[in-house]
Amino acid sequence: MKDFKSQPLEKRKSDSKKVLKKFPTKVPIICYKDHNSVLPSLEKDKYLIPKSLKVLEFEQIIRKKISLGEKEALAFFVNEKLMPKKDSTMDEVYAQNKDEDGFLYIVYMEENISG
Amino acid sequence: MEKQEERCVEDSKKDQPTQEKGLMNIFMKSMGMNIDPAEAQYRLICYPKLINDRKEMESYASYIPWMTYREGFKSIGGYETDTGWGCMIRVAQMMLAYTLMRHFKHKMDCSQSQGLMVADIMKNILPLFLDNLAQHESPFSIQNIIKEGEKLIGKGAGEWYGAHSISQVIKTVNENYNMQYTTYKILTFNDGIIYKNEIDEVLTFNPLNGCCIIIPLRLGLKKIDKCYYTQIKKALSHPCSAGILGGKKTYALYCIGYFDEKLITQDPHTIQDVVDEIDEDSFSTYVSRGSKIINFSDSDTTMAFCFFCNCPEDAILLYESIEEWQTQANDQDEYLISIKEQKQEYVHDKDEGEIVDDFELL
Repeated sequence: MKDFKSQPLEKRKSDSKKVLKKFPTKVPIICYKDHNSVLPSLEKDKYLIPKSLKVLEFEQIIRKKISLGEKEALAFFVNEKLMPKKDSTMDEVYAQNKDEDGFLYIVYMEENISG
Repeated sequence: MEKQEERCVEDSKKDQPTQEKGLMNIFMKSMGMNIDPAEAQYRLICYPKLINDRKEMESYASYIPWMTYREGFKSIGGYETDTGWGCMIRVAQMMLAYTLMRHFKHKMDCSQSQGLMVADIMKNILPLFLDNLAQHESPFSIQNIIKEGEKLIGKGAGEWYGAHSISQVIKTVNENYNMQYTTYKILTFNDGIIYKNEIDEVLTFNPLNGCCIIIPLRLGLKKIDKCYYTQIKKALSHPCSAGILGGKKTYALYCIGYFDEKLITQDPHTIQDVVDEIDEDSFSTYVSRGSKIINFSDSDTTMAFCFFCNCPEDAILLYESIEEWQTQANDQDEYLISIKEQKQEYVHDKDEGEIVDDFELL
């Protein structure tokens, strides 16, 4: 994600515009694990996802992609805040939380542990 | 483990003996009056009316059996003590003991016997947690928890747990070892959504069933967002609340109540000798020496919200409240727990999408 944001804002803006135009039913997101996370990384961090996809559904797809079992903790954050209600569509999440560059940034993380 | 200096100022009182309170009160009185502790009636386990009241909440907390680090148990994976690694396990044990007490009490009420006695706790609850008795004799022993944890999620002795992982393990431990209270059930809801049909099924299958509901959540990356404070308070003040498995950074605590923006917790970070049976001496080691107070802002982001329902009426009350919390929520006060009739199976056929312009298409 660092790499991605290091690209000039104008370039990122035109990238998002381009894909939004080309795929009107999808939204562009960047998804990656928090830098403190010990979870597996995603192979790719740039996705175009259906606007109608539910948050819970999206979370399940990512869980599968990083091969994380159902019993393992996995939490998603947008703008440092917990991902909105599980019933929201990704379109709603995008509309409310997208970056000025036109991408939606989603971070994932496991639980904290104590001894 | 947490460094000494990081501890709250408020818990300077912690080490003073507070023998007038809770379990110890009953116990001391019964001893002083030279009557059998079996005669001493346990205070009714109903939730306090003054939720936002420190004194009331602390007194209430002192009735919950206290689980701590122990040393001198039979070796588990080379460890004879859980000092330095077992705190989240002990926190979960406190929640289990507390909800089992509520379950036991409810069953007694149904058969119209007397109230809960100290002897009941000594005989029926605490032995379930003895460190050295494994298998079915002591279903919630640290031995069983470690054994199941290793099988289920690959966490052995010496490894740290979080509120989420311990919830999964105690659920399995309950299923595999708890033969004494087969009417005591645990459900975990890992998506932050409670599915009514799963709870209803447990509570209607056998009218004696009680259901412990655990919802593990992570409420922020570094800190708990302030917009969740109101919801935490609402959850903790619900009559079905069984507290929160939480703590401060790397320091697990059992959060039972709150006042202002502080959590009232039971702290497992005291090392005591292992005991092999529950008698009048060893009983006192399960009696808390006072609560630990922490600020909401210092609380760890990973929290498992626990509720206990003894009957379908309890569940209805819980459903109604969760729905109410949802509808009252706004930007400053966001809700945490959702509720649904049943789990929906999503069938998204595209887990691996084609790549277009360096994007993966889902």
